[in-house]
Amino acid sequence: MVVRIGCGAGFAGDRLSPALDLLTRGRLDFLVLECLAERTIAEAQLRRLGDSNAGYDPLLDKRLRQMLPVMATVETRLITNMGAANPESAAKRIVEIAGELDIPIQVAALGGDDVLDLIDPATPALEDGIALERHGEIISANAYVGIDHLRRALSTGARIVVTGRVADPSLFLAPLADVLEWDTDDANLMASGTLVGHLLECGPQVSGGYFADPPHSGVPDLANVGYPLAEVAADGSAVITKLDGTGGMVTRNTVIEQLLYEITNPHAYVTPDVVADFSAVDVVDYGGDRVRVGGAGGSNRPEQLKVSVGYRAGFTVEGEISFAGRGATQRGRLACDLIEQRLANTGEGLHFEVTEVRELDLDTGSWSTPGCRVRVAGRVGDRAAAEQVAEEVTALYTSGPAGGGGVRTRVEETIGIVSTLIPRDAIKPRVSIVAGDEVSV
Amino acid sequence: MSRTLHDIAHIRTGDKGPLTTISVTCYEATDFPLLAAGLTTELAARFLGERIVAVESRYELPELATVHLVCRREATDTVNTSLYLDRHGKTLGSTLYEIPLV
Repeated sequence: MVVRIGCGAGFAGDRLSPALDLLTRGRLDFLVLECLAERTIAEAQLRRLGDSNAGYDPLLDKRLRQMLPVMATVETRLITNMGAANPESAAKRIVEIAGELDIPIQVAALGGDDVLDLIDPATPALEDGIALERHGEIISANAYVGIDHLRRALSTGARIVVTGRVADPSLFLAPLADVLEWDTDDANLMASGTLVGHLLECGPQVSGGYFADPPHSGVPDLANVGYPLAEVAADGSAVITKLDGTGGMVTRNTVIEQLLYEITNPHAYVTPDVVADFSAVDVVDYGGDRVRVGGAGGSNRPEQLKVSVGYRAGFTVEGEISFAGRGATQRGRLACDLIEQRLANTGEGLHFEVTEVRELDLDTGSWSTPGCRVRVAGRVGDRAAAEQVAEEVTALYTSGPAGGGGVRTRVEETIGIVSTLIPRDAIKPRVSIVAGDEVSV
Repeated sequence: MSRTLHDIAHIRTGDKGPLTTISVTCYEATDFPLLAAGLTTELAARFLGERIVAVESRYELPELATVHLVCRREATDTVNTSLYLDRHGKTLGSTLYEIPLV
């Protein structure tokens, strides 16, 4: 028995059409859309604070409107963490859209990762040892839950499972363990399925995306890069591949590069499900965009789970301006000095980056004479102070050095993330099923 | 012209909180000894520049023909709170391509 599982999105902003292709032609048992990161969950928490029905992925409507009609023609089940800070609202929204499209569908929501009431704000953060609450007002705490939670949602039989914060590889391991009837105490199998999940979770990053370095290392037809799928066998080995007729490539090298992506210890990659050893994975390139992986080792799952704690970190402001031609560097430096002098009372450290810029004529390949782009960034306590920084950068148009142009400024509220641990037994999964107008828990 | 890491290896950078991971993998597994000898912690720290506070770990993974580095940035230099234009620090690893091969 072989399970076919694909990944149609590796981050919130990922392309939409490859997921449709996987759904249409992939003969997949499961399609996963992984859309949640430390940054995106913080943004989702902010949206939920402003509107209790919000806080799920902003592209959910667009993705599901395209995918639901295809889902009506295939058997594939969809698993996604687009629920972000509000999986229940996401599930309701999906059912609403399905209703508009006249496609009957059941959606299960997995919540329970919200552990704000369970954490002790005085606990030191894992990153810097400083108490969580001393970083700023805490607004959210989401535990990285594992397959023990996700399998509860899968067992409802719903065609779509939408989650909040689940560890990324668990989105893949849970259905694999289910269908292949893996013993969850078998750490090697848990590590093997985690390896598959880790390789797939960033979408095209394993199939030729983020790899091209022309002319040194080319990737064929990158414009139409195919998103990956795995054919996973009961022994935990898997072939990573992509659909025929798509661009990109799956090779030993693209697989190894993704294998180590964001891994802080190749001998001990800690997830809620296993502590996996990826250091000596067996990677065999069969050619034809088929690469076999196996041999991940593991030891038993940790007793504590990681929690991402969001805190109010003030407002981040960015402002940029360009200078061109002879003397550009000196004028750029002067711009930095002026901003520093005019904002001396802001009392916050500003960050300056001056980048040499030459414009490439894409048709002739010739370069303009060098200029520079000045960037000022700062993080301050309130929006008014942030806007003052932006205003001073804009004012360089008339009150700055000669020949400045192309000012762009941006102010945004910032949610910082620090981490802590929580005993896994303290967290209870919350599964609800939405179908039509009915919600059952 | 003398050869550099760019001639034998490809690099991917990742981020986890204030940590940066950098994998340097040989196109041809037979080049691994050359990579392992050329990419020292000291050289990596020098080429990565000031944004990296310390190269904390260096893993030699011969089965994967890879040297994997784990580096630390300032505590406030995380994807959500960084003031750098590249707030993930995803462009950092490519600076290692200039390391000369010995």
